[in-house]
Amino acid sequence: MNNLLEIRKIYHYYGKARALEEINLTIEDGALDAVIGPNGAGKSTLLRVISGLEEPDRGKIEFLGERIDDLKAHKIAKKGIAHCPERRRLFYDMTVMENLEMGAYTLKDRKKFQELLGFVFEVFPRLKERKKQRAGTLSGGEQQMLAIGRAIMANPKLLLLDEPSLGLAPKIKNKIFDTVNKIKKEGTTTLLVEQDAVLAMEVGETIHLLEEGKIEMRGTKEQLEKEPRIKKVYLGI
Amino acid sequence: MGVILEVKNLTKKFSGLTAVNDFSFEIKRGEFVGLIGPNGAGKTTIFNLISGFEKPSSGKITFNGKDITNMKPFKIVNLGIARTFQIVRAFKFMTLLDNIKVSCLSTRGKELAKQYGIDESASSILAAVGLVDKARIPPVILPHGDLRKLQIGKALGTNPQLLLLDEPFSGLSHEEQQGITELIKKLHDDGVTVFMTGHVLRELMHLVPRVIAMNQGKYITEGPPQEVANNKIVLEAYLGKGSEQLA
Repeated sequence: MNNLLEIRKIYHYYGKARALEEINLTIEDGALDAVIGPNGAGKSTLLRVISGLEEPDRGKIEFLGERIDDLKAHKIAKKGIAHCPERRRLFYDMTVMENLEMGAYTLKDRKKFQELLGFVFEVFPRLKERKKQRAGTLSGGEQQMLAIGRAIMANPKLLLLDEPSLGLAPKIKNKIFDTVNKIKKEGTTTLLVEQDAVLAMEVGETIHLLEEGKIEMRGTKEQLEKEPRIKKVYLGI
Repeated sequence: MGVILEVKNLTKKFSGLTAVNDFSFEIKRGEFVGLIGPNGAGKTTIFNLISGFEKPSSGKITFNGKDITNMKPFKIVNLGIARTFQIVRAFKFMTLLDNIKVSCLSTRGKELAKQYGIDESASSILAAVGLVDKARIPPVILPHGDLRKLQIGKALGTNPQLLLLDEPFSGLSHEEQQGITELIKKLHDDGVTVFMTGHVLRELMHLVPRVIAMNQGKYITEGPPQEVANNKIVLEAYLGKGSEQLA
């Protein structure tokens, strides 16, 4: 398999506070990787640096062999990276359908648009039922579905998912994660950031454990399950 | 040791969301206690309720045997509870000394300053938090770690018996965290009762002898950190459902 994304020695600071320290991360084409870690570990910052919402202070990011760390976010989006942000950030006054159309604004191909829309409605039939409804009136779980759907509509080569389970009931969490699996099976490479370590380890093929801006450990679920380090990173003891 | 703070059946509802749900606990005079829970658990809301920044929907808060439920923040400060905030605030363009002097002008602060004067009192607080060499500069040019120290200094200016520290480590480098740890330890040794929150647990769990754990507004358990960290419900709150399968 080829490497889709290569992150080399990335550092990022907010003022004087160090958010990311010497991050190295490679994502293979077709993979589903998960980054876990407690609150404040730097998970969201990592995604923001990849999608260009933050410019890294040092280091290099290559996407499809091309350097992207100095590009603006809209250019990176055009290259095929879709970022589904934490807390959804929908266009709340627009309808479900309009939100999905907004997701596809870089897409020129009408046929592809219909195809993607079909896929989104297939995995989230609820969105089809509610396509004329204003996004702000959806439930939390439905809003999360829409946020993921909107990102899929960009037809990304790499999908960045930030805390898709945040604030959701266990049953809806599971449904969202089933869909993450389906998206992966359709061939979309996915990088998932998630505080719920157990859930993330269920779906992620490779799991990266982030602590205070550093990747402390990585491996498969089977490898990490036996590691007392995870509990220690989350609970400090 | 007598009870300094008693929280009984405390509940706070924000339209539809119950941020604190029938929460009870006690803190004894001279104790050093941590309040832990994942992001959004309700830790800061509990601090807001104790310090009077929010009014509870129901329940009772007693400080030194006196009912302080629904009391205004300045009255609570004058009774001897001071707090710091997760997001550091300071009088940006005043010197550090003047920043501290503002809190020395509070009722209890003035009492403390009576003997040596306000300048002297403020200087000794700056010395205690390790900022005395920066007394004449304004906070705008300080690093984050120093701002956290200044915040604690401002709280000390009111001469508190009970100090509430909200996330004193957040946003700090490892070295800065250790500096704050030393400072808090010293304050506690000097007799201040300390109650602190944290979602970054590495420092906190080694610092306090007792922690209270909460999630989704509810009390889970309390006890020595090692014990609480192995509680099934606590683990689930931090790591997700099914966390017992992890090592």
